[in-house]
Amino acid sequence: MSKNTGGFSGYDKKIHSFGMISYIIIILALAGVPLVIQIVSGVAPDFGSVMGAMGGALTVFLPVAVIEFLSYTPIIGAGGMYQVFITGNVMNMKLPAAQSGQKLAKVEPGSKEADVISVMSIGVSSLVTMAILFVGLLLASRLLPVLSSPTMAPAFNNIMPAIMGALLVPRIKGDPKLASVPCVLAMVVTLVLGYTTVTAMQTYLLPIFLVIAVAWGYFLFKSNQKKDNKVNENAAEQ
Amino acid sequence: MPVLGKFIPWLRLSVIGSATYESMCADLTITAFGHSGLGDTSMSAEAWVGVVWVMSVVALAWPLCNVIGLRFYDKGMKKVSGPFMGILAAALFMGMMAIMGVPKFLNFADPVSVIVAFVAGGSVLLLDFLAKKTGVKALSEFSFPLAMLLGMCSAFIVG
Repeated sequence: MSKNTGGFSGYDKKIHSFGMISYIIIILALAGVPLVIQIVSGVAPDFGSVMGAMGGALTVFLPVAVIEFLSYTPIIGAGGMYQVFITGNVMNMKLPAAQSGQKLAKVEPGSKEADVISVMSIGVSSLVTMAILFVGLLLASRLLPVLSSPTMAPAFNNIMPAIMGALLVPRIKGDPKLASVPCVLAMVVTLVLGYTTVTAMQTYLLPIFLVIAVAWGYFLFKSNQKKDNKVNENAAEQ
Repeated sequence: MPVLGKFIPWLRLSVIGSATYESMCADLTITAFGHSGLGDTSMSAEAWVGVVWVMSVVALAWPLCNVIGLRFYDKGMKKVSGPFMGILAAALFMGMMAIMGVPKFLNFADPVSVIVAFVAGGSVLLLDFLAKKTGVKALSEFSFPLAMLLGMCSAFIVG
């Protein structure tokens, strides 16, 4: 498998070119929707009220967007990021799809192959989501009684615990040393602050846990390097 | 969000949006126009157009992060070369899973969700074990979605 060796390859340049062009089109289209609605309907909302609401919302969501941008990029790569920040639903759909795809393809996280697999997995997940949303829109009146029935409620209320359990446990089993410090710390924080507080503060706790996990991973990496060097020195002496 | 009609929620939820963020944006805007909130069915046309503006523009925060910073960030990441890159990606994912996933196992106020998390996690391990023993690769390849479904089904039994 090929590692990232610094600098952009031809593939990376194409990803960024195509990503930027498509993003400019999408941003103009998205911003155009309210403009067209306003022009066609002739209804002009109060500018002050709109700006006030926009400022309030951005105060909450801009830090979230920046934190998610910094957190997800190393995991799913640039190609995956161009997709997920348009299609959304990162934690509950796109990230599991990317991780599942990387596991199936047996690629190393952070490698060029992992970037490509992420792009394909997230692309397929996005298409499936759009198809299901479209079918849901068409069959809304028939599906709604089934989906909102009390019988189905226990399953649909527990989608996130099921996703997290299925993602986390194999990761802990796969590398218990790497998992130890972040998971024990998360347990302590949850037991001390309580589940509700931790869930409310998750976006702000995330960068702290990322820094701790990377620092711990670097410590383990350096420890293993020292052990390997000692073994090589002993083998050379013999 | 039914008070906003059929098409704007569909547009917003399928492009960038999540229901939580979009509902918050809509509620903030409707309140700014003097109505009681998202459930207010007497919302004016000006408030509705204002909601569409706020939801559409605020959602651009995410794409703008990519437009402004992704190229530079990706270049910086690519300079982290060598064997540490794989460990870096694994560590980042582990850090994310720790704060997002571990609390789900400790939500004692909702024991059903705790059981679902454990059943889903245990199911992945069991399916991988069965795949090795029986040689049926599909069990391992589909272990994540199967485990998810098994976890959700366990909610029927205990819920």
